[in-house]
Amino acid sequence: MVWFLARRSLRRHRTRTLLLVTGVVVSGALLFDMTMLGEGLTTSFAAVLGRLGYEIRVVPRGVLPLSSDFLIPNASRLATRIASHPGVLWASPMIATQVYVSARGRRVTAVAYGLRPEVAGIVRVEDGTGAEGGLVVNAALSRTLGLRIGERVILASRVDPQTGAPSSAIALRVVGFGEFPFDLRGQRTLAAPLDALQSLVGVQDGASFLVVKVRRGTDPEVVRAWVDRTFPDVQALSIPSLLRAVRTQLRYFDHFSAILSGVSLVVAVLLVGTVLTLQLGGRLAELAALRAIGLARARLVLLVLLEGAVVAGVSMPLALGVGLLLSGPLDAILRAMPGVPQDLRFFVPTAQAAIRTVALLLAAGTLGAAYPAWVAGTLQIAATLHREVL
Amino acid sequence: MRFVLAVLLVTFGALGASPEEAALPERTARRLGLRPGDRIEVGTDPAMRTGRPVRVAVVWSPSEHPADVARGELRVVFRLPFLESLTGRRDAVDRVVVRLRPGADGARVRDDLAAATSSFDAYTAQDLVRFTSQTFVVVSRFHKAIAVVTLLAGGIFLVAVTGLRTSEMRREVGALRLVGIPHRTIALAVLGIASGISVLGTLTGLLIGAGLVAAINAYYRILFQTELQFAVLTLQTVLVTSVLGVVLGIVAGGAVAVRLLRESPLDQVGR
Repeated sequence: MVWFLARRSLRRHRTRTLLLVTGVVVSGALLFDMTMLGEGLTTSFAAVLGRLGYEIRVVPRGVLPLSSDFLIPNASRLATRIASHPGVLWASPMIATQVYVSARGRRVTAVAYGLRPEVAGIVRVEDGTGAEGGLVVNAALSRTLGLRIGERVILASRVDPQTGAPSSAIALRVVGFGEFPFDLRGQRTLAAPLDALQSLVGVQDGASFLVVKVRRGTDPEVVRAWVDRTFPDVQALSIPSLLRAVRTQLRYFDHFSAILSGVSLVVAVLLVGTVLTLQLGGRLAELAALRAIGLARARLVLLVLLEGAVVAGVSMPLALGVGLLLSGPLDAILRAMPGVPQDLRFFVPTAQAAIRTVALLLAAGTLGAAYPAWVAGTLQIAATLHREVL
Repeated sequence: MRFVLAVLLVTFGALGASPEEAALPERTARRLGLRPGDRIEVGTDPAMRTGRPVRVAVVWSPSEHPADVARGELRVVFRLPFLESLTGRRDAVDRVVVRLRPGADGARVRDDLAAATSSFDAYTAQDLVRFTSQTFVVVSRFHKAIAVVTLLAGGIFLVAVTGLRTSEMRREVGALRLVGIPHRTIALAVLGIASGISVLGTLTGLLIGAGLVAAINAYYRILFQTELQFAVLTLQTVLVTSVLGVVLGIVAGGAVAVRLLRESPLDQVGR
């Protein structure tokens, strides 16, 4: 009966209900977007890290986890010692640096990764082979220089500022085209054999960082803690600790989403509360009559609370749909920021985000109906009927 | 205790004659608990195999860039020859800054330099300002897009409240019409009430907004240890908010007045 009365009451005031639902839809859409924003970057970053094929990154102690000019000396020896841990499948040094790339009479700068064959996840080869025997280049670099597979390319670490001649150079052939995670928009990137890049930049056995693959069944945190304890000059970062470090740098988006989620919830609560309270003013006689014919006080309170929850429930599919539609353009705006890798997303729709939005919106609808429910619950039957009907 | 510092490859005028001196921005000095005269050791490897003792000569307060605040990097400034010897990079720099003669055209000099060689890129100060502020341009665009959505939600709320509040006058309006009060007077009264509600609501909203701006600035200034402003209440924001709030309220009141005056006064008084 309570369900029937709640539906009837909302249907009777169609315009008010429509306005109420529209307001809750907009608030709910904003809430969904902010929930996606709060979790999106971390989710997206975790997804990319998960595709790299390693669980631990070892960097010089004290540096920022993802970018540094510092090199780890004696990297092969360190990799061998880390690989001696029973839980480690392999440990491999890598170099990340800037190089000049020349071909067909043109020269451009590019980000270069020096890697060993086991570190396959760093580059997703789309055409050709891996970087064991030569260069794998990304689309931006191949487009800029018009590169083809088998083509000879000159890499240089320095050029003379007066003559423009490379002072240290090696020649390698393009063996494949590929995609690199964390490439910025328009960034030119290549992967080369580690030893070739080490000799080019003049670092004997140096590495920017080491990547470590743990054996199946081994907890990466155990290996991370062991590396941290055993090697005082380096620090090991597991994927969760990398995510924590990134999350710290992205506090702005966390706070922004928390504030706007709060604002949208407050708007939804106030909207439901105000509209239902004002509606109640015109229904006092009806509610008093219901009490007079025997409807229990608790059921009357439940009726008003249910009306709030129904409004939130009816708004839900539209709120999620509008939120999803809005997230596309909002994501495009934020991804235009310089320094944002192409494969990262700010707004990632997840089941968790949708469930959280549904729960919060239902709670907001019910909470908004709390005050009018209290008014309905404390109604004096005789006095109200006398005032409203006679 | 060891820290990683971002090192600036520039000379600093306030440093003394000794090459083994450092200048620290106030934020770095505060984080490391350093004062002028303190001695620190700096090196390019975590094990400090290349470590060299340095005296803190100056602690100063540079103007801060918002992009640096969130990163929380520590910075230190040395004389160029000292840093060259510390890093082992002889006569090699990351960038060269060029001071032009008064009246010189920066863009033209940039183009001339770029044409002269392919081994470096040249930028004017304006180019760099444009590039480094791009992040904030994008964030500002995002804020505007979100503002449109919140304005929509707020607008619906305002229209609903104003509309419902004035609809509550249905019975009174019916009675007034039955005793012969002209439509114009009733319409003006409804509009007056709607305007009053919207002006009061807008003023309250602005006060809450001003309070939030103060709270946001207080919180983030402590969090990031800076004097930068994170939220600003501008005259333009106040004007846009006020006009939107009042206009939406009046429009909602007008719509209700039209509806009330179209109904039969007998229906309105319940007869």
